[in-house]
Amino acid sequence: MAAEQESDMPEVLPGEILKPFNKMPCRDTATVLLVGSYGTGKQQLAKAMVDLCTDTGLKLQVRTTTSLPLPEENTDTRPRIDYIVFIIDLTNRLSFSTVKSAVQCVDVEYFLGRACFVVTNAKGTSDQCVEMEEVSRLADMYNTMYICGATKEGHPDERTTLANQLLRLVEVSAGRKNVSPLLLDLTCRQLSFQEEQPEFYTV
Amino acid sequence: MPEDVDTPDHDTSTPGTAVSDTPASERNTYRSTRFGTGVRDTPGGEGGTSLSVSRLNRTLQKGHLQRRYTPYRTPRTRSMVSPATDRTNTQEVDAQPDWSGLVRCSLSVYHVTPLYRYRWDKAGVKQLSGALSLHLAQLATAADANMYKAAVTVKEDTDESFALEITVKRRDTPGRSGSLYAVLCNVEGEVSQTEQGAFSVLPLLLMTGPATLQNAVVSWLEQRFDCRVCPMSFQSSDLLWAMALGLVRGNSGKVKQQTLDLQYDVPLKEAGLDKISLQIPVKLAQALLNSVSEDTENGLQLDELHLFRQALETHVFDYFKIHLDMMKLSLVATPVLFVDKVGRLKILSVDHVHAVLRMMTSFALERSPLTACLKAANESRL
Repeated sequence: MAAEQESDMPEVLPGEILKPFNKMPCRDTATVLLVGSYGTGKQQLAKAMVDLCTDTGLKLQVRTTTSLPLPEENTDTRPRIDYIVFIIDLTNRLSFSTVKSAVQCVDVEYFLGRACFVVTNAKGTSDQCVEMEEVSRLADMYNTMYICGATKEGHPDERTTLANQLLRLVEVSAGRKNVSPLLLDLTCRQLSFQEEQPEFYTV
Repeated sequence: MPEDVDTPDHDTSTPGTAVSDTPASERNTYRSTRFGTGVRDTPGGEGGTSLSVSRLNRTLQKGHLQRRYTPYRTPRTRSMVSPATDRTNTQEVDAQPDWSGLVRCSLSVYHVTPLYRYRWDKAGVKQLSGALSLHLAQLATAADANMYKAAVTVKEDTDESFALEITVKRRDTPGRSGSLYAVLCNVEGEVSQTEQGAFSVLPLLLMTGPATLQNAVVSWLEQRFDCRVCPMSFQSSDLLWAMALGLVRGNSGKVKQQTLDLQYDVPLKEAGLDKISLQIPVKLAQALLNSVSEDTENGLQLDELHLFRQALETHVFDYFKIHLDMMKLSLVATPVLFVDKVGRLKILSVDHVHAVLRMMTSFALERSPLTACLKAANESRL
């Protein structure tokens, strides 16, 4: 029964899985990949992040995609992806399902501090189609933090704050801060061995 | 939390590739028939969307869980059948109160915090009628003073539970044209009605009538019982539960063209298109629901409901290239009931009023954390 079920589902080819250490890193550069479906505000967030980086001397490249796996044609010219941000819009069920299928095309090394989930439209439950519980369950399953923020035009301050937070994480991930991203990830959670303990993720 | 680990093994596999050991033949016949406007089982399309979910669930069962505590946990299973009253015992059926006043009128749904100092003996109830009449007279202007006659009665359900019925009639016009009818009740809610000390828990308020009268009654309730009455709005998941209730308990044969009507709100970006309405013959929707769920009678799981919704949405995407997942479900109409996201409810048949009220009571209790705190406080005191 279990074998039958395995063969029924389309497998992700090993060549398509994104790996963090496939390519050599470059000095003073960082590449971020934003994964989110149409309408989640990736372009605006990307612009905010690049604007923040103009003076710091870090050459930031932000790539966006609506789904993983990434197309094979660009595999050679694409630089090493240092950080992946999965964007979930709580008013859009499709964004949640694309993120759920996208996390399977990513190597497990990314979930040790080189990826995070961004949840938008978390304020105001009136329009929400996806429950916060489902998102937190997904984040718990992959042991990855999630940040609530805003990416759209109406909230420029929140977008800048979110871009700042992501930029800090990206810099660590790109190797600029002499700290391993795993160490940073450890400080963001409370280590407990009891199942019922509430955990809080802060950045 | 133990509920999570208990998700059954058939979790979210597509109906065609079931893990559980239901006979394959009935699934195949369902899939091979072709429906004109109806729902088609699309294993390919659905396999694409539910791929990750089933993998996710398998890791859930194997890996370790860290549940985060969220204050309002929505239940993962709801039973469509009341254990007490839906037996075919004629004695039980006769004992049900007469809910015919609630049928076929457009009800606004409110949820109410616990009422303080509610006396349910006859004298107390009479006093309430007098108080309400006085309140209405005070609110009315000099010209139409004494226009309304208010009556408050108690409807006994069983020994323990009862409902408060408020009727406000105009003196000049007979019939129900300008009058208000309201029911305040607690139908098999998790928090029982009477055991809460000085408080009574009657979380569900259904009202039909003119808006001014509704506001007047609400203000009177808030004043008299020191409670808060808030209009209830339904999320798309609540609308789905109501739809499932309507499908499971649908009456057959009375009306020829019975359709399940789902209306989605299109997000603002799409200029010119406001709503998308999806109509499915009820028989096909019921067949789809049955194929997705194991046991619709006793309890419908949240995952099964999500599968149903996913099936419909992938079907619409395959045919029309419309992403219904990006839109918000705003209205559900079944032959039994009609629910709106704003909080309007219409029950179309008397037999199912009790079940609908039970579901609405559970929604109302979920939205009122005060009631849960009261229950916890009372239990800790005992």
